Amino acid sequence: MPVRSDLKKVMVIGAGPIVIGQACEFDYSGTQGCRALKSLGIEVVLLNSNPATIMTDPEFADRTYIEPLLPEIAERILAREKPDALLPTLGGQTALNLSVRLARSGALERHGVRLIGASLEAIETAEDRERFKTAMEAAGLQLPRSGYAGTVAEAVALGEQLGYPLVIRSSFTLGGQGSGLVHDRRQLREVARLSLASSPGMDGAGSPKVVIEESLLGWKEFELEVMRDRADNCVIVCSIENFDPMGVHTGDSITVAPAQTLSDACYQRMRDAALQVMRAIRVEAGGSNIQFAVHPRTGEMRVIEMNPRVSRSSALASKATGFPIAKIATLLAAGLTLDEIPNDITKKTPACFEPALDYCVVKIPRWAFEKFRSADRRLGTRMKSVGEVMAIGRTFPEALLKGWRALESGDGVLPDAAPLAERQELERSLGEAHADRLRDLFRLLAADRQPEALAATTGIDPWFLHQMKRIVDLDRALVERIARDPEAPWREGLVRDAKRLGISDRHLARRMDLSEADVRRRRQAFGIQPVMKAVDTCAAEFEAATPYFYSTYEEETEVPASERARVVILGSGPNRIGQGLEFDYCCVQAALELKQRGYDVLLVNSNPETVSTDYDISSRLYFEPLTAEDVLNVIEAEKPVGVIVQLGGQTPLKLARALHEAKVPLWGTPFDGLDLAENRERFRALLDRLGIRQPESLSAGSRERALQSAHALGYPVLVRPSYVLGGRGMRVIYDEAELAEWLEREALISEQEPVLIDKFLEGALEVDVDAVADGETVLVGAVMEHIEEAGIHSGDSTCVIPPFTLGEETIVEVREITGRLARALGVRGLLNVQFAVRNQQVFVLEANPRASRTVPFVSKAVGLPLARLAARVMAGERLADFAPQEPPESSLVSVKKPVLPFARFPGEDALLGPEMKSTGEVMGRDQDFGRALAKAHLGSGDPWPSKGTVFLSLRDDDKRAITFMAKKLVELGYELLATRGTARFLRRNGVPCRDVFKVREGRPHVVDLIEAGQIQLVINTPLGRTSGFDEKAIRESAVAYGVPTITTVAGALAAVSGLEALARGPLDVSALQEIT
Amino acid sequence: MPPRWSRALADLVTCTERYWWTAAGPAESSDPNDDGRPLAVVYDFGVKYNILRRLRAAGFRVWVAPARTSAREVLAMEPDGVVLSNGPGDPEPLDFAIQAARTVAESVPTLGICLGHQLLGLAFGGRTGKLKFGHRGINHPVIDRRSGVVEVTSQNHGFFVDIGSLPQGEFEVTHVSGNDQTLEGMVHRGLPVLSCQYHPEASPGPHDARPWFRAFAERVAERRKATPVPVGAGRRE
Repeated sequence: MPVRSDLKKVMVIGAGPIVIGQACEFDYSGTQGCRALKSLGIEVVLLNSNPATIMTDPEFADRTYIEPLLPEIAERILAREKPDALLPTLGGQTALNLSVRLARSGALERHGVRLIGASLEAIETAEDRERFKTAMEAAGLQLPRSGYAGTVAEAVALGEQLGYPLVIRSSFTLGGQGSGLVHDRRQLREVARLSLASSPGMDGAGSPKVVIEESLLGWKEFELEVMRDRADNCVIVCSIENFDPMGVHTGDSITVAPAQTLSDACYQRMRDAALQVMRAIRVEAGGSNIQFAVHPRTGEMRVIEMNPRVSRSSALASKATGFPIAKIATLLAAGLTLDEIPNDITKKTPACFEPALDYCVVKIPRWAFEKFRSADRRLGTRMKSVGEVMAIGRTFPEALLKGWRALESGDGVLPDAAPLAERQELERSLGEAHADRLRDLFRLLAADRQPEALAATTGIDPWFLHQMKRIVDLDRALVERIARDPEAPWREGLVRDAKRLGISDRHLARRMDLSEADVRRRRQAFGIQPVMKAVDTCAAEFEAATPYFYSTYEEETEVPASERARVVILGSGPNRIGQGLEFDYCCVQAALELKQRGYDVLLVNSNPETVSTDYDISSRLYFEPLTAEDVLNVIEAEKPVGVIVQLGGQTPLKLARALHEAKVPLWGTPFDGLDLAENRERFRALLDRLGIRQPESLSAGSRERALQSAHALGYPVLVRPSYVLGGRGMRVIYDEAELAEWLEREALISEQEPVLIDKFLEGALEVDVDAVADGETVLVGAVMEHIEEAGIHSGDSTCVIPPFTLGEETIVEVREITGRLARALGVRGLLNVQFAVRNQQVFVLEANPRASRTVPFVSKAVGLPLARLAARVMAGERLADFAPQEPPESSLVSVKKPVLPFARFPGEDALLGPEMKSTGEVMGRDQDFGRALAKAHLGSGDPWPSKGTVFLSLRDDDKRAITFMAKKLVELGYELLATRGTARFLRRNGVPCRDVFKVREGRPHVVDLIEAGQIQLVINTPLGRTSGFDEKAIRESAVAYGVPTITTVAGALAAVSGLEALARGPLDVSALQEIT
Repeated sequence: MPPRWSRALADLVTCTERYWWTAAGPAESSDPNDDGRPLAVVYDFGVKYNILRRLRAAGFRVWVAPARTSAREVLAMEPDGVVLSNGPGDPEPLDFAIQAARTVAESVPTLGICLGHQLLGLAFGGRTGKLKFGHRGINHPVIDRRSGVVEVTSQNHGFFVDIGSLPQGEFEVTHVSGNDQTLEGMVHRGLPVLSCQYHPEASPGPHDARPWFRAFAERVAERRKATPVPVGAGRRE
């Protein structure tokens, strides 16, 4: 069937800001979708609020709207653009939900827009639990058996019928209160009673009910990625098996593709069921993800859920197989059928086949618990990880160990055996999944615990544990042989065996007491070198045209020779807080640019969620860990003319030294310049020499020295451990007692690892600059002013282009300093400089000669593709020859606002500080500051209330600053509420304000009111160390009940101008491509 | 010496004695519980047990005969239908089987699978050849030309029947490979003869192609309706 002739213009909705559970995999799918539509000659209208995405670069759509993902806004765009259809399946749950709302409200009909890819009917059947159950049962498929009970007696009767263990959940309570696993009738009675008591009843009315469901804890979990077209052709793209059994969110599970422990008979049953699900839900043209549980002994199967859209798993499946699910799903939605679409990789065969894998793929999640220390590290049904790595090997052990070192959360060596004293405790804690379970399994296997015993404790299939034991056993053999004769492992082939199992050079180096570089040299002398194998969808059955490779220790390499000059771009590895999509954006931009300039671009990355690991982006994709070992393997295989380390964030930058020492040709800023900026002592000296102001700072190698230094600098001070990454452990400290406590807690202090202490510039403005330099010319992309004052991590600050309070002279000075720094550091490519401005004095906080988080935001705000310009500079061109001296004038204000994950981590204080906590960002663009800011807030999913009560709690210093703002709030129709002191102060200044009790003063106190929904906005500027109990309780309950909270004066002032803007009337929209 | 593939490899793998396929697997005699079911006699050129299982599941009694059993002997077994099984290598050297295939196909409903399909092709005057790239795997797309729908199939063959060589109008080409458009399935226009190049019994592999067994059972049922067989006729030996 040809492309539907009625499709000339299609709207695509993106997934909005990166949040836990919805990350850049939707940029990957959305970008693919947009490109696929364009390739059919269809005009693309794109809506996404996330400026860091690649899809929102003006080249990927014809009309790009960086606007909040809200029905009103979307409808304005529909009215403006009049697309023929809306494709709702590429932007995750966010896009799907928004599309459903547009369909239900009649907005689509009003503007003559149809849904393609998934019908409203299909989406609703898949999403509505009851309808889904009915559809599945009609198709003869089993869901977990369950029922409702309104009384304890009913619960018991149901329990007898379903069989234990059972899960009890009360409907409609927050945070899983009143749910539990029960093993017998006695426990069932107990939990049912509590649960019924805590349940507010269905829909908040009527009598309380609890859901009783058969427990699938310990069942094996699988996912199938399925595609179906209008002609009813159905293929399974990939099977994925979860290493962690049921009970752990699939996003928090280690997963393996293809499924490893299913017999063909069982797999085919699951495949049949998947096809039935697709037909029952009537997914007519697109891809879906279907999850199954299989009983480990009986083989019984349950359908868990299905998503009628692309997903995190479909991104993983695409990377695991080379089958581009999002692209094909888009082509199907446009009316093509699977047999009409050629397989990208073979070119000759059609897409209506099921990929064959001659390798094994392992995905491992990465968590950020080091950032959220009070958060519960146990894993359950609510996803907590912030990123993931994928690794490819010929065997499961090889892929697992490649993934292990790709995580970058340790040093990539195998964990040591657990000491005797810890074993019992370790094993006990394994019963429930937690973030360190993989490490602990290695430690226990190394301590001789048997796979069967661990399988019984964890529910993990023994096959996986036996494979891990192979690694542990080989490591032990290595230790034993080395002890007798250090040369023996080399002679006897043990080193080769170790490499085939995926053991890193670094681990061998530790065992042999050699340096990593020495191990590499010796290994090569013994001829132990990896070859590069292709990911080709067909296990080498057909010739592969698309080059996508991984390394393994075998005989034959599958990489064809290339005539053109090759450039390696190192990606950014797993997403984590502080390093995510923004860096992928830079890598992709540079890759596209250099390809255009005639280079073969080789991308190396380990993150399956990214656009950079779409084989369509680079000339060759290497799915490899970003460690010195693995990167050098690629470099040795490809012999590039240049390697780019400045685009992927800290990850590749950390490799610069090893690459420099291995005489690899680094493109961009020379290694010495990178080191000059990174090394704090050298950088401090440089600024002194250039006569540039910086906060006074000292480093201290002992507790005593730290206290002395802080005293000498004068409080407040900003402290940071020297191992700092992404602001980890950083803190502003106001007095000696607080410093003593911090030193106690952070503990790590020594002459080798000193603590860095800066004078903290209280109340200073923070300013960020992104620039491109070529050694002569410096092009400043933008000067960004932060709304929050210095001391809040720049990644967590709301920032504005152009600056809204900075004086012209200050801006000139900031630009001038940027230029001088660029030249002094020898920057070739991107440079980010952070400044603090106080009393018209400009201080440099740090300079990073690399891509920054703000590059995509700046590029979109000013309309200059900074990363592309940087790529040309790195390839040797001069800015003067191709770039403007300054960005084009724009009449728009752009605001970038962070999105924070506190709601995911109950118990974590929702306070901003020098340690970055945000996962993503949104952008607001409009004619004035207030409206741009209002859009950013609306887009961040943290919108202000348009009416209601505002609770104010301010530290004394801030009260004066906020009187004016409070007045404005009253004028705008809000009611004010404050604790006694603040309320009295405001009333004295003529602002009407009611009193409320502090938590310990009596009831109802402020937390009661938040929980009762009587407060719509919290403005709370913390009092520092003495803030104590009340503030934390207020913020916690505000987060739990979804009440927006502002914790800085500047943030509050900005919010008020946004509220004013909103009160002026509805927001208008504009596309990036429009001339402004 | 002729190339390896031009030898009659079926001789190396066929059974030497007839046997029954029952619920419990191979047996010397028919299972009395299967009485009344139509009889499928299966030529064993290297038959996969799952073909036998699928035939039972489709309602047949299943009796397996060695590769060199003559058509006369097979027809004397009074089958309701005959299945020409899969098997190794080049079909051309199997002249005895090609002859038998023609006779059988003109007498009773016949299903050819894989090698059996190639034998039917040769028996009706077509030519076979060696594929440049053999079809092997459980992920091969086959397009059903009648519905336009793709089946994902289990395949393992190095030879093929050349579509162009088939006698004009005798067969309907029902299935072709999505990968290289070679012949994957055909149905005789005049006789109840079904011929499938891939493995509808799968195992390993997807179940998309199972309808072949149902179609065969339907042909057999139609024939039985047209020419009623006395009850118990099949038990005479």
